[in-house]
Amino acid sequence: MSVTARAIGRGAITVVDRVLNTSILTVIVVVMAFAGYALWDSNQIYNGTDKEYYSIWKPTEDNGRSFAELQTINPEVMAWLTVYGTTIDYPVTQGQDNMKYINTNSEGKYSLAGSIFLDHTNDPNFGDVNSILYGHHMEKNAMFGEIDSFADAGVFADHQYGNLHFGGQDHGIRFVAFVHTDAYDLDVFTPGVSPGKRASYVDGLLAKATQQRGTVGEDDRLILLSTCSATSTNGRDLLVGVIADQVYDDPFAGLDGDDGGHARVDGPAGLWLSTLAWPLGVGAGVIIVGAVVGVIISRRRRTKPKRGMK
Amino acid sequence: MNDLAPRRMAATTTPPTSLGKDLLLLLIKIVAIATALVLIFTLLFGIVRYQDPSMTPAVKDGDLVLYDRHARSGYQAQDAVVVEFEGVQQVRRVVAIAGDVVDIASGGLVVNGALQQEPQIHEPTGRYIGGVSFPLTVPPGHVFVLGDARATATDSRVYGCVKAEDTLGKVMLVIRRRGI
Repeated sequence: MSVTARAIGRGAITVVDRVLNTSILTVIVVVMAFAGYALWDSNQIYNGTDKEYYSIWKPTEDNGRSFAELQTINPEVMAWLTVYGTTIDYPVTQGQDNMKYINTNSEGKYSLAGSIFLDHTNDPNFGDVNSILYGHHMEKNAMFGEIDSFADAGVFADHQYGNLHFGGQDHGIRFVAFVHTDAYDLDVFTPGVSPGKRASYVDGLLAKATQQRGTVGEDDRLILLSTCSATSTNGRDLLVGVIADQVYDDPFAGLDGDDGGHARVDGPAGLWLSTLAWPLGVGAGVIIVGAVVGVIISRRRRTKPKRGMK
Repeated sequence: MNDLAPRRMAATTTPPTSLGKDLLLLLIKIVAIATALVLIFTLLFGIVRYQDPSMTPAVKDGDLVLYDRHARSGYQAQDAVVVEFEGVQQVRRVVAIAGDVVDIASGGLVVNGALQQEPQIHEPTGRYIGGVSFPLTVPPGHVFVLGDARATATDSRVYGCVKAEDTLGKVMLVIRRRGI
């Protein structure tokens, strides 16, 4: 082989090699950028569901001024719900229909996480026999993401009370049952049943309860916290409470940590983690391949000067 | 640019064998990359160019669909999955999982006795003549899948419940460049 032919051959190899390296680098950069976007995008969904985000508007004992400010921003905010010892500590809205607040936050802006909302047919003063609140079942215990943990007897026993602020004052909630049912179960999903049907409604509801504590009196108004359940098709988990005349103290208040510092159930892996495990895995794989390629390249380069010196 | 000089020198003075050796290394590199890509797309992911109108408008003709082969357990209703029927990979939506009772009544899809509200579905759901008989209970480890274009889709109404193990994976990315 002549010197020129060899030079051409080597040139060709170098060109192919560089094209290959550039392509791999491009792919790595694109995959990483997309994985980064996916991470950020998933995180965006949870932005604004953190209870800290809303805490500035939470009605306090001193005055309801900040809550009134939120109501000025969005007049459809009509209550504030707290379940003691959980992350459930949110404003409650009520729309003209039950679709709006599925993806509208309590400030009235579009948000995939939506807000906690009262059924549009219910009395906004919670005067009905049963009032139904809906909220998304989300990872990271956002919105009503923690409701399903009440299926556990221990969690149900440890979290007995909550608070509902409406009409300018606080009202206690005493939780009496946890129910798992189907979204189309009209024995449960009939908001504002007439007083005449109250007994059969309550009996039917409690018959479906997997956890129950205490009784429901004849004048008690029920509040149902409903959320989606992933365990069955059209599944719904409901935490059933009674709106009490008295206000309950938060047994978790004053403990370390925002959530009361108590032990928590092990939730499933976060959404961002489970959905990004694969892209991240691939990214890592591509990086490893790139590293191997890099080593091969550097070895080749290292051998060159030696040859040249001969 | 710094390495240009030694490289050129190397090129002109290397013994005849080194060129072949470089070529071999380049080939090894190409093979390694190709192998990595093949492994990623056969073991982790699958990619399919979707080519029928049965999932309109969620997935359209010409869409590139990337699916996760390892998400085949734990399907839930509304998941989009890839199944292969008569040699063609198709994207279908899970509407019922093991234990659910599926029926197709005059009003449309009925799951566990309730007519489903499906705001994303724009065609009436009917039965196919000669298809599976209703109502049916989805057996353990199976899913019942339908195409979103209910009037024409070939789906579980034709081939019955699908074993979750027999699906190819769960759709994780759809890339569309026309018909947006």
